[in-house]
Amino acid sequence: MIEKKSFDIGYGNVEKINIGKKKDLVFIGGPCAIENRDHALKMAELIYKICNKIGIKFIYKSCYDKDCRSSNKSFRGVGLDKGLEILSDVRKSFNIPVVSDFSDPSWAASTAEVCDLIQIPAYLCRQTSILEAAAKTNKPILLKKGQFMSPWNMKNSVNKLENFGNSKVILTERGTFFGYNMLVNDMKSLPIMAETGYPTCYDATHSVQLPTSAGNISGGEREFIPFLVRSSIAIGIDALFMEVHDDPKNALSDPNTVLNIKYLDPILRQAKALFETKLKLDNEFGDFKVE
Amino acid sequence: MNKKKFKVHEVMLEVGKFPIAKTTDFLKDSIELMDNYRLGIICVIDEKNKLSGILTDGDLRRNLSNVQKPLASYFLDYTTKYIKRDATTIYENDSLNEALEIMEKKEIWDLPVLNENNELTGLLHLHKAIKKILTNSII
Repeated sequence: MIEKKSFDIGYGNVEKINIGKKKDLVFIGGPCAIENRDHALKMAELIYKICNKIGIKFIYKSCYDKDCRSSNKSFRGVGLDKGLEILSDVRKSFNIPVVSDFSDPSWAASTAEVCDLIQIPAYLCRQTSILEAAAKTNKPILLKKGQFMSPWNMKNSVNKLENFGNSKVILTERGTFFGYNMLVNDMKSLPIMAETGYPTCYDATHSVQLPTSAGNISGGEREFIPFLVRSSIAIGIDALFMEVHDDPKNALSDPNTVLNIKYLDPILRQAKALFETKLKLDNEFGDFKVE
Repeated sequence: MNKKKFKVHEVMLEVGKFPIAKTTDFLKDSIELMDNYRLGIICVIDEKNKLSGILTDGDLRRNLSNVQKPLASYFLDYTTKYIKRDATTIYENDSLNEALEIMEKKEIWDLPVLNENNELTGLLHLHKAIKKILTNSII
């Protein structure tokens, strides 16, 4: 049998968060892009307080370079140096782990110097040079499933990471292309990706994206976020991922999919309640399988 | 006629001469390995070199007629998902006669061979055994 893997996220003084043992629900979230230092710290504080109140482990996510924007006129980011400086401030201010993605292999090492978790963007999830660079940081990796990838094909990307010496991987579902400018959510991908033994994560905000549906920017149907959160947790995940903003309309990246922070508290409280119910069911029914 | 009593280890295929997969290997890789060795069996071992199970041409045939998922997904299943865990085995110091009797009784072509520590050390393949027997005129 393929053994279940679990590992800790967090180095230095930040709170170490275990993933894989399914004791606690882990929330990975923040604004899609780092907009500026004040905003990053403000968002971190708001989310941190909500998670703390509910009792959910929190990893702050925000990116310094959005290389995958539909238009080159869109905000790309504050850049590597400034972005990592801000993420480092967030880390130190709240003693929480942080995650950011990178889209150029040469950025991996510096990203890993600051970040506790390294994200591989969905569009780049099978790029060997990116996977190699991420693996060699020895940091845990949040691997997004490409919208064009089948869940079983993600096993190839996992294999690459393992062959480059990294076996701390979280596999993340974020919607699958259905024709043009449309994603569908095949929840079967979560148990399929879990066959690898690695923890799984569900990205509820990118899953409602309508990629580049508005011509030069992506649309989204965020009214479905709560439904998808509930179903993913009922299926069984280790972490929930959502991009959160205090002013989605004016968000500099993904304005049509980010969740307004005013909804974060009820969504996370439901998520936690469902997660705990799921644990009880697992204890009662064990590894229940239908053949 | 000179009837030499062979031990299994004198007749078996040694490690490197038959397909072996790790527990994390994909089914596709295992099938290719079976093809490369032109043998209808693959032995799956764990990190301690212990036999986890075997997969044969017959198992693959039965799987193929039952599997409902896309072939691409089936190929990327881990081989361990389909192995037979209670495979019949033989020890390397057992006699060839004993091994042949088991093969005849169970109608099987191959027997994974274990040493006293229960590690996989070889594979007794019927055709190779027949060749050994014929060339040494022991029947």
